[in-house]
Amino acid sequence: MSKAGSKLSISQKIATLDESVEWFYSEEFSLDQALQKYKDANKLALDIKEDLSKLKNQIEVIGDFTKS
Amino acid sequence: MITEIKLTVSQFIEICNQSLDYTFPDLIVEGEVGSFKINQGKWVFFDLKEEDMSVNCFMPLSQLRAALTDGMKIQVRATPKLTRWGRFSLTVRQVMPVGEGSIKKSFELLKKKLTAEGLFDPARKRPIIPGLTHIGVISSTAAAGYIDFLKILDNRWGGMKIQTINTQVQGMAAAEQIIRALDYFNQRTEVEAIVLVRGGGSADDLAIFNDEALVRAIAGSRIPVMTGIGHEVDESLADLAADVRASTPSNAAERLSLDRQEVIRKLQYSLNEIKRRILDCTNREEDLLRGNIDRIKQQILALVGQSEQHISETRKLLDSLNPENVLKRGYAILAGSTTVGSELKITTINKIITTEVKNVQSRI
Repeated sequence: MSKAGSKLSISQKIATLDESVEWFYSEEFSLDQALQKYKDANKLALDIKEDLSKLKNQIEVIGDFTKS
Repeated sequence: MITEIKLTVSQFIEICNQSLDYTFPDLIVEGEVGSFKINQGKWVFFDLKEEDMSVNCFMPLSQLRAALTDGMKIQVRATPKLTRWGRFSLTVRQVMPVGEGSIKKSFELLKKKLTAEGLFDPARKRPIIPGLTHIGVISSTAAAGYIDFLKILDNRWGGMKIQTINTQVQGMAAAEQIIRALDYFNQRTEVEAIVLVRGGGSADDLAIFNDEALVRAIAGSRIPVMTGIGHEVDESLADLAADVRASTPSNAAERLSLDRQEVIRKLQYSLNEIKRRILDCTNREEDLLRGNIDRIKQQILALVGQSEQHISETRKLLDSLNPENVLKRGYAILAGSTTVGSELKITTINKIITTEVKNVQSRI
């Protein structure tokens, strides 16, 4: 999941994580798969945190209307 | 020798006007409005007064961007002119109320007019939802309010493209510059919202945000507009016309962006929820197992109890059949032949006696 996950945008990753959380409350939930799913979700959450910490805004002054 | 100047009337008027233009290229005059009137729905006339002095003012109604009444203190940007009839007046290009009382009065008059036109109708408002990727900002790039706005935006979220147009945010030239900036963004398709930002200031500083043309430009913007002007208590007509009014520049940044700390908190909450769910399930399974073990244990104990009772009863039966127990009750065991003269062995609880049979009789 992490390699493929790294190509997704933050919002896509958050959506994927939300789906994972939903699985835990769905009828498909099984204890056998839960541990692996939890590990995947945890990894995805760490990816999102890292992405968030790297996000920067791009600021550009495109015009100065005080001069004309 | 003094040179004699001979002029026609028209030449005199023309030279006077040239001299006035040269002397006052950009004139701002402050005074109190008197004899305000609108002629033919096109022309505005009023006097600008100070104590017992006054000057006539004239301007096209289309250029009047503030509501005026007599007694109001205003600043006008104007060109002094000697008319062809020899009357001196100011041809006004721009009017701005000054002083808290005049600004408030003008605000109320214009608010009433624009409300009646539906400019502030809530149904016109479009939402600006946090998470935009491209925004246009109109502000003075040197202003503290703009710097606060960017700082909070950076702290909260990233990945946004922010294009800024530097304009004045106070003074008579500001409204026109802001209108041009609004037009600039509206002629393009890049930005998803325009934010008009200006920090706190006096009523005079913020008065340009009640400029009628600016208010109309905001209301007419194709791209949704958010204002973050002054402090919480400052309300301008620009705020009323905007799609979203933020109370301050900082609040504008908060309302435009998601909060990365909040997102991280939600992630942690989700993971905790998953953990709780897994623990709940394992606890339930454990409870189920423990219940089963308890039931099996109870069954085994019940079986053991039954066996113990059976053994006890059998032991009692065996005890009752034990000859020693019969001897204890006072009985004796006879062994030997019962013919007369034979020997008999008598066993009691504590003795063995040998005796001889002397007589034998039948009992029945």
